[in-house]
Amino acid sequence: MAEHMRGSLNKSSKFYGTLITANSSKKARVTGIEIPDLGERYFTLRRSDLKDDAVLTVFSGTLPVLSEESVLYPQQPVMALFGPDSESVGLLSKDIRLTLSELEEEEESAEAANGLSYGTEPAEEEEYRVITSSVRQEERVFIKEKPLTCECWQEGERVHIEVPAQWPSLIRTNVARLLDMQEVNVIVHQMPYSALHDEYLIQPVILSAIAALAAVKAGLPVVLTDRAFSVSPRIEINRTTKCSTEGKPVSEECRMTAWLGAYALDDAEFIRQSLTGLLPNYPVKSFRAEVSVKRSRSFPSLFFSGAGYSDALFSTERHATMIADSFETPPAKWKEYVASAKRPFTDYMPSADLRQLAALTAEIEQESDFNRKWASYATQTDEYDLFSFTRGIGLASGYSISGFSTSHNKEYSAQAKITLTEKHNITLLTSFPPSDEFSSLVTKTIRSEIDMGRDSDVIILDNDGTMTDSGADVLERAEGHFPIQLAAACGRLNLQKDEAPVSIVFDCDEKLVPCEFEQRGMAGIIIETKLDNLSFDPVVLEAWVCASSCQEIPDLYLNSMIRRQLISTLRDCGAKFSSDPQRPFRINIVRKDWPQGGLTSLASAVRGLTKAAFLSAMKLCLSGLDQRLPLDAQSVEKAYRQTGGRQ
Amino acid sequence: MRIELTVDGKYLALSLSSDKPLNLLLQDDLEIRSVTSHCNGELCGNCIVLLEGKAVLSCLVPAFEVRGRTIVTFDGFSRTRDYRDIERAFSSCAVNPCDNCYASRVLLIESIIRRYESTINDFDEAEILQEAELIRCPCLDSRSFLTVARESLFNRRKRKNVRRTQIS
Amino acid sequence: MYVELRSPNIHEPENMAAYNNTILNYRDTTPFLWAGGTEIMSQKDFYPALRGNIEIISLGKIEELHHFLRNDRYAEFGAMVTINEIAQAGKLVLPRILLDTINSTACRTVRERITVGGSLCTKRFKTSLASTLMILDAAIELRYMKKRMHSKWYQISRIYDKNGKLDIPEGALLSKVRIAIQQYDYQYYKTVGSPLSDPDNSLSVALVARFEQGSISYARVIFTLPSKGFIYSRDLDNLFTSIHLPVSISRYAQVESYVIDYIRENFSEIPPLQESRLRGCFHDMIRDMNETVLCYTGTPGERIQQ
Repeated sequence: MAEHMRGSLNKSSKFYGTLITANSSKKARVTGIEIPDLGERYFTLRRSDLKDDAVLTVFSGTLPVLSEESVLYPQQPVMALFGPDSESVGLLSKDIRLTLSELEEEEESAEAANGLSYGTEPAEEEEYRVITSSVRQEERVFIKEKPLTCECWQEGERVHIEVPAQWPSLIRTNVARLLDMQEVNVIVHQMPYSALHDEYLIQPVILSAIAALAAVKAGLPVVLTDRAFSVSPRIEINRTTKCSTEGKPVSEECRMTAWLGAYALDDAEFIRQSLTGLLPNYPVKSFRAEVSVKRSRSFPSLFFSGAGYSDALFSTERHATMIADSFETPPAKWKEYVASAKRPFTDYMPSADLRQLAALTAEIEQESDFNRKWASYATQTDEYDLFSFTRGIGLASGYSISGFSTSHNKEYSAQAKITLTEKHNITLLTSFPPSDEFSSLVTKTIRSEIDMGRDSDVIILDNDGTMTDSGADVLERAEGHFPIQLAAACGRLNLQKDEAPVSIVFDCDEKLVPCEFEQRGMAGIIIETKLDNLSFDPVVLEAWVCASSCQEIPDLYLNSMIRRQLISTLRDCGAKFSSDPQRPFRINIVRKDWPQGGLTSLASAVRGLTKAAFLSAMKLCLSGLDQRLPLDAQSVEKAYRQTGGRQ
Repeated sequence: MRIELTVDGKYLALSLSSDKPLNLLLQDDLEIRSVTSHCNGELCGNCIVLLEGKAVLSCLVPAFEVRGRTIVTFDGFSRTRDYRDIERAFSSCAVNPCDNCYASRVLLIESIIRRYESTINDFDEAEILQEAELIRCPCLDSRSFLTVARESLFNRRKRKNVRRTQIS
Repeated sequence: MYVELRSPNIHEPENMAAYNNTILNYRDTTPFLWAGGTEIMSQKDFYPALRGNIEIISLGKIEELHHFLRNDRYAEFGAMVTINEIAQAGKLVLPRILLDTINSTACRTVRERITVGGSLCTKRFKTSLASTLMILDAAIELRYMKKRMHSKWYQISRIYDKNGKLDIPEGALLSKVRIAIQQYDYQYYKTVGSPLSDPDNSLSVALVARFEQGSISYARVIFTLPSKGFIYSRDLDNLFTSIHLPVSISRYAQVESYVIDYIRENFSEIPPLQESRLRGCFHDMIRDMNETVLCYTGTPGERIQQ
């Protein structure tokens, strides 16, 4: 239908639109809008054209479609301008002037907080060494070069929306509510996209809502274009660990603060994910952690790089290296030394045998010659004799998780449908975007669970305009989490095999596990870096990854996933890659079986561990560096000067 | 301005602004879906097309310059046998770039292997590594790009059974 | 396309005579000269824009501007020759420093679109190609209208003011570039940072020198700060020319402080990162020169292996 409509509409019968945004970094109110004479071929959509309660609902939070009364972040949409072609609309939008008056900022306070603890505090009289660390991640806005385009048209009672979206159902429910329509009359045609983070989650909802309102107002199809972007939240994590004189951690306290943008959408889930990441990957008798969320003047940031888990894991592993460092022991040796005990069961994660992690890093430790390099580099840190010595190596290891927490899954249900047809083919209907990885994983899962004949096929149904809601395509849910549930559904379908045709609608997420998350694989990463003494860029020389993954995931898929996550994370951290012909950048991947059984998804672990290993390596290059990501040449140069380095 | 050009084998005549960048021409006027980026001069590298067989950043080419010329986009190229050489190379090297930059990377590799396919010269590694940096998408490193380009060249030479002659 | 957006008129002369005619026809409007378009098209918000009724003269089809010739003394390139073509054609004869500069300007795909004329006439930032050509004493031919069409050869340094700002008559066409074929005992070129994405912190350094009896007998050195301009002066050249090799630490410190003071005088403050990078490049250059000269015996005909 969408194709038919597109073909039958020529350019002159469409309106093209752009958003007029307020560029204020402070909280402000729009007091005046100067609009040039538009003529009859243009029209605008303003706050006054919308109902009073016109807000978008995302999880438990809301955000306005258009906002004039209170502008809370730069580039917040204030109004939309539509006209006969995108060029003239683009030109005319430059002539629209907004007058803003700043509003008083409220005092910054934590809007949501939660904690976890286990064990009891050790006796005060014993002598401990106290190790503290503080890591920070700056807020950054990542703008996609690819414009985000939303096309909307009305066809009888129905409204069609064509947009790339990580959660099509969110668009459907919001647009239906704004237009007072039944949800079945809002058809979302999901366009292909490739999201590194959450750039197609909330913005398409805003665009679709505006485009739908404009299409209804104009009675003609509307094309609305904007830049897609995602925001990495500002995060601060402080840890204090008391260690025995032999180097064994006795108690640890940890406090994490995250600034998640101007609107609270699902802070509780962020906190749960973060608390899971803060659990130490070394035995501690007593542990306390607290996560609090604050508001900031930015676009809501919730799922950037894994809703807090990866960032928390980054701090955990960076801290582990600092403890090892304070006892002048290579981190790999220290982990081996303390890994005799199990990590206890908590509400957030089942107990874990930490010896598995130590064994995993041992796999790549020899290949990378980690212990020798660490000792050598550590003794030469900040040496600026004739030639500056600025090399480092870092290690991190940890468990992975995927998908939402159990509490979240109980609150928001997401579903998919599997059908055994009369001809004994299997069809699957989800709202997840089609991709090669997704198709091959679900096909493999179905074939391994259901005994299908040679002539039978697995058909992944076209989800264009589907009413099925499989939830948001974030946190590796589609490829890392969904196949687990699919496997269980296939088991149920097996029992009814003789009753074909038969369909099963099943939950895309696990709701019955006792913990919020379960371990979904583990990884160990070693990264070797150097500092370019001329440009002050951090340069990555080589990376070694040992991944413990289930057998169902093919080597090619696993390797390319690890490679992509590692490289994009390093780039986000400000790293450059060595292009020296003598030693070009390389990634070495070793694969191990996942001893606990079940499907695995390593992306969240790879992201967090990469950051930790990279920062640890850079601190070995230059001790004066702030514990802050991303690194840039300015901060590196400053630290270089402060530690006595000069050319 | 009236512009006649050939895109993916189709001869077209368009009326548009003479200074319109080629990437917008392909997106807006021809609705070609593989060219989707418009980075406003940031040189993101995600809008590569083949202009007379050579890779160009289409955002740097004005419409008046493509009059009477031949353009191949990923949409057209992905239907050729030449594409299979590159597709297989990505798969066999376990390199999986994101959908945003895949089309550009493929066309850039095609442009590179066309320079080398009928020679016995090995890659100028430094040059290819520099070319890889043209596409700023963070999903891939230059070394992996080089590996895929090398493998693609191998596939192409093998398929075409190129007689290896040194070009003087 | 509606009234608000006018399509510029494009003129594509095929030879210089046709170009002259076009210029004469539009002498009151100062037409817009279009070479490769790389710099113009990479401007933010280049399109759509209200440019009014402008006339663009695209130089791409003028055959004379694509010519290049070479003899024993010099190589001459038309303004529309791409820098990649220069690097390919002059691989064996042009000074290595020029080839290094071209190769570091951009990757081959972009180099194939950057023309030498366009590269020398950028307005937003300074390219290191212009700086390198300055120390190589390149000459350029300018064509300009003054009742009738004139053409004249200039030293390349004459078309820039002391801070590197382009200073040629409005509407003049840079038609040819002539580069002397000569070799030097020592050539150094280094660029740090990206002039396109971070022009405020990037820079490049170029130096050519000849040695005589353990000292520098001839030196030309230039520093390029893309967002500001060049640092190039006879004083600086003279300072280098009197240096005895290998450079001692005290002499090194003296020259370095002179360079930094000179920059501060001309460009006031520069960002700390750019200054540190500049010091780093300077240090690297002196170290490289010392290293090179210690292996140099000075026998006639010997060239330093770099």
